[in-house]
Amino acid sequence: MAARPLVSVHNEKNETTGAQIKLPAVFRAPIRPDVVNFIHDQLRKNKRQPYAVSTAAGHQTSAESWGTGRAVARIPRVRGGGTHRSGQGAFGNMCRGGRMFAPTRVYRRWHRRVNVAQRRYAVASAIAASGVPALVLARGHVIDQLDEVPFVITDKVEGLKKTKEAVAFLQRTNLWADIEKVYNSKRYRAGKGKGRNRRYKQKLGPVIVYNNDGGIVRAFRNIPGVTLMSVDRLNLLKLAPGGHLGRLVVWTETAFRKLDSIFGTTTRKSDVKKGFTLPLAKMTNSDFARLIRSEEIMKAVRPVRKNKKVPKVHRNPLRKPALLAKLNPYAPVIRRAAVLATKNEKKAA
Amino acid sequence: SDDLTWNILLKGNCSYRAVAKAQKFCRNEYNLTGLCNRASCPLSNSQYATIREENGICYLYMKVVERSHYPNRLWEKVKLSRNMTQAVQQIHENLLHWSEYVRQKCKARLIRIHQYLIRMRKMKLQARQQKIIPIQRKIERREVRREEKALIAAKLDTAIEKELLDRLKEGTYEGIYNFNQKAFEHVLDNQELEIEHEIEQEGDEPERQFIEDFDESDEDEDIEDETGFVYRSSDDESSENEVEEQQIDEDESGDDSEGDQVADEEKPGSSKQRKVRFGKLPKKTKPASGRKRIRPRVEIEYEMEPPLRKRLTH
Repeated sequence: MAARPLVSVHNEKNETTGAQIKLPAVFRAPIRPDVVNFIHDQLRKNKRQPYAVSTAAGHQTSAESWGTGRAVARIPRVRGGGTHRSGQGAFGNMCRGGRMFAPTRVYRRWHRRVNVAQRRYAVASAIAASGVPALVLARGHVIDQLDEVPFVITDKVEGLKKTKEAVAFLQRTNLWADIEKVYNSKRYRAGKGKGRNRRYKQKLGPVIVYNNDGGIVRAFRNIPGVTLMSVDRLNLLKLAPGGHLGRLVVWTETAFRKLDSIFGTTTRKSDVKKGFTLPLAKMTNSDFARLIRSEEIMKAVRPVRKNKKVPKVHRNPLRKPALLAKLNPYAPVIRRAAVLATKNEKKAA
Repeated sequence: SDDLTWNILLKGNCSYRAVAKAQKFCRNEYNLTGLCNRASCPLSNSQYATIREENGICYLYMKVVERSHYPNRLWEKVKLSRNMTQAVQQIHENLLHWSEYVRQKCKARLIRIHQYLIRMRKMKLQARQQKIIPIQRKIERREVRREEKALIAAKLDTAIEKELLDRLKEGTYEGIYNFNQKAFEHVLDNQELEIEHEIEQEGDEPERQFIEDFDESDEDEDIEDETGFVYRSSDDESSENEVEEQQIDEDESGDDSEGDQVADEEKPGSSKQRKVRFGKLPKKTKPASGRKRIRPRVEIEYEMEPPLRKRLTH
């Protein structure tokens, strides 16, 4: 669908203001879950902090192997005497108090670089997916009472200062159901993360994309599940959390209008991202079922072959008397004579 | 775009999909068949219809492509007639040029709904009291443990004991009741501790008296055994007196005798105390029966058994 419909803007009371914005071309970008998944994986590695075992671990002994001839295994053993430790194995990963196999090192390659074009592709894909209600539903958001997808609100929201107002706004616009889902999903994390300052887990709610922060961030940030993002700095990790497409996105009017200039259209280059035009899909019309049945294709395709030739099965004439008769017309005569002869013999005997 | 959506949902994650061993189910409430496949998925079919039942009334829900971006107006709700044949006709009319699959499944679903509604009505008439509710294992386990803890925390035993003792002290119970031996001793211990405190406060024992010796009783009650040992019946008062006499004049084997005294007190029902006398020691001259006895009579007694308990009275 290359058509670009109009999206109406809603105000804080969930009424449609007169304004209507043409859907930005980003929303027509190809939705590529494979690209998004891969890029998401790579980008998620970039916030990691190194971990490793101490470099000296397991080697803080001057152990030496006793060699052969002492009726013990050849593992290096701790020197000296007067303590339990003397004569114990050291250094190996199999030894008690030895170093581990392949000790983890800080110089592991923690971060990944991703090509800029790929990153932009992924973000465009993620935004496009957020405009498909089916995908947003499938991701688990509660949008049954929402007025429109994508959801655009007036710039007044950017000026909200109090969380109370923010909550009232969300309730009015029927976004609160998604946040209630977040409240209900708060639970303990399974595993050791509990004791490592990652005690709770909860679902994610909507993302609110704004242009100017006139207080909106502070108003919304304490509401569980809500994420705030500026249009100029769109984050794939927030648009497609977990690598899964279809997060619920709420746009402010200016932010929505800005998308066309940020990402450009299929024909026009982006103003902000140098040399970037929106990616094109491999197929402009990907409705496969419709295509096959279309006139143009059916004309070009050869007609269906009916009356397929079934290969004849060859049977053995020696075992099939009918076949033998066809080949040798005299065969039945011989057979008949033989049968009669045996019959007469029997009669005579 | 439907195809694309289906492709994404099939390979990726759909929050409505529930996978069983052999099959995939769709938990979306608008799904026609309840299965997760291309033709049944409400998300990947722009033109779709379902039958849903609310409070016994069946509704036909329809959605079309044109409304796909307006979630709160997406589904068109048509009330179906209570009569099943008429309802089927209604479905046929409303979904006239729609896909065969959807039309067919809608009718089938309607029939099924009517069947279970009939069954529900029948069951209500039978007024079955039993309702099956599933047991939630986790909750059950948790509650059992909490009950145990609450029981312990309530300290019922101590509370009951205290209450009963209070009542006993007040005197609500007249007469004697059979008490548990251990509980009785336990209480006695507590009481003796109390008494000990009292006695220490008092100072001199008021019970010290100089009493005539019971001559007859002494002689009579001495029973000589074959072995030569003399058994003496446990006579609390006399033994007490003897002990006190000893305290006045001689400090001899105080521990033994007092242990003796203690032992007597502690075992009311126990066997008679064995006291060993190595013959009668030369007593002080017995005065004539007429003469009043001034000096106390001294008898030294040795015990075989060691004192079982520490002295309570000091």
